Amino acid sequence: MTAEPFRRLRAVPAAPKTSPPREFAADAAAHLRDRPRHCSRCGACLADGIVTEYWVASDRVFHCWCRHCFWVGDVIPVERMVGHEGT
Amino acid sequence: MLSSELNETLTRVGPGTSMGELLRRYWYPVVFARQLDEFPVKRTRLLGEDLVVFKTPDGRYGVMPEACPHRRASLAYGSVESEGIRCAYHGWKFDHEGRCIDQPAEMDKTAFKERVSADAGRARELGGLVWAYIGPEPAPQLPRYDVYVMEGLRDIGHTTLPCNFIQIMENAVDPHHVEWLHGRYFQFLAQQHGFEAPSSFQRRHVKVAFDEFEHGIIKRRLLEGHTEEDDDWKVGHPLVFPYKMRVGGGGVDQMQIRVPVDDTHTWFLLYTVHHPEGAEVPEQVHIPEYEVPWLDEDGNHIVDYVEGQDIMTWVTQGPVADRTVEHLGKSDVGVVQLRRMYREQLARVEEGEDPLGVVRDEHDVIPLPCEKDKFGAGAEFALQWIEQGFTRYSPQRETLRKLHIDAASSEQASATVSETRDR
Repeated sequence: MTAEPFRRLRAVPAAPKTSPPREFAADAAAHLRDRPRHCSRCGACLADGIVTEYWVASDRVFHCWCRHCFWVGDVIPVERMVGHEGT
Repeated sequence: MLSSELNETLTRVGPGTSMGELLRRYWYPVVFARQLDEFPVKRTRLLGEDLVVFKTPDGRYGVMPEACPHRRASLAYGSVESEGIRCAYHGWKFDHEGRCIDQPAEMDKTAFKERVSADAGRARELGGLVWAYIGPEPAPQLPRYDVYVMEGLRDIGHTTLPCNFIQIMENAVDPHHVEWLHGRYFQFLAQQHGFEAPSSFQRRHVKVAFDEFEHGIIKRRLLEGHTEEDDDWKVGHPLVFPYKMRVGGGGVDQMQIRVPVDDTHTWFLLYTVHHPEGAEVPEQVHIPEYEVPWLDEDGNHIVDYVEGQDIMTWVTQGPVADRTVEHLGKSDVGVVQLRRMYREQLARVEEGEDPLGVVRDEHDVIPLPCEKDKFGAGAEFALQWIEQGFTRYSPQRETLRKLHIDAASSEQASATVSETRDR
């Protein structure tokens, strides 16, 4: 492996201290804890790309764009495997 | 939801910031042409910089930082002369390119003038607005989007809002808000206060879509009772990257312009052209421009018209919306896509490339896709636009109303004549 990918895999900067409204502090903390740090395709640091979180029902979706390989995709943390629900 | 550093990156527009560098690749309206015809120099603020814009007697425009390079006095109080602007304090004179061409109190044959040029930008007139470019050279073309050059009766409502421009742009890729903010909420107010809310905004959205194109994002909506052949889906209308939105329908075309004044202020312009089919458009010497009020005397938002409702949501999100505590859903994917687009274009600028929507080729007009039959409301849409939108504050409101009514009557008369002839 050349030095280049190591440079790209540098540590994500520490999140600055914020004081979100009390009722949403847990969601804000969860975002900082769980957002993907690295591209799913090339492994580069996503700090200079973008990671936006949105919700679909109970799923938390992290929409990512990698500046290095231009990958666009969603990462969804799984807490419980859910199959089709009957009607 | 974003991290706070990403929120900062997207919303800081001043010199030296990433977003500021991206935004300095575009032209912005800074004053009305009429204002410089009445008095040839005016102070303005753009992207966190205080500027003066001026018009010399030969009809050329100039723009440069407000502070004189000599002792920092305001050039907004300068005198405009044949080759540029002269500072009132000690008479230093600067040409359109920012070169210092006179220092009356200095000795002759000094090279001092060459050390103190002003950081001038470019300024031009288009469609009754004076546009400024304060980015790196070579300056791109000033894009001649269709609304600025089309025939019709022009009308410009405007106001300065105490919020960051990104939260206004996010609204442009949020179709669902229409049926709620301008539909259900309008209906609620109408019931409370005893007036009739416009019906065309109340239709339910069945699906929405967002397509990237060379000038931004085309937004499409499929409304209940409509098909994919209806204009709202088939044609849609665009967010024009990075700070505009093109809308229209029923013989009205409009560019909504959101100029980033600084991190926490946006100059919001509703540049509108009325041209209903069959109308005889009267000649217009000056384009009427007027302030659109959005707060009442008690300091509450005025929410009984469409743009007042939008403004309420933009301003109440705060000077810079805190995206670390928001909760986006699937219906907000347009917002997610727009943020990605800003981030992609930031990267292009950092790589030394032109970002999306920068125009280098000479052109007469840039046509933009925009639905004609808005919400399936036909000509009725224009009257609702005038009565229950910002146009109710226009000094030419009655003229505009008559223009659309006369055009509709003339269309109806033509249709009757053809029907009779066909029989």
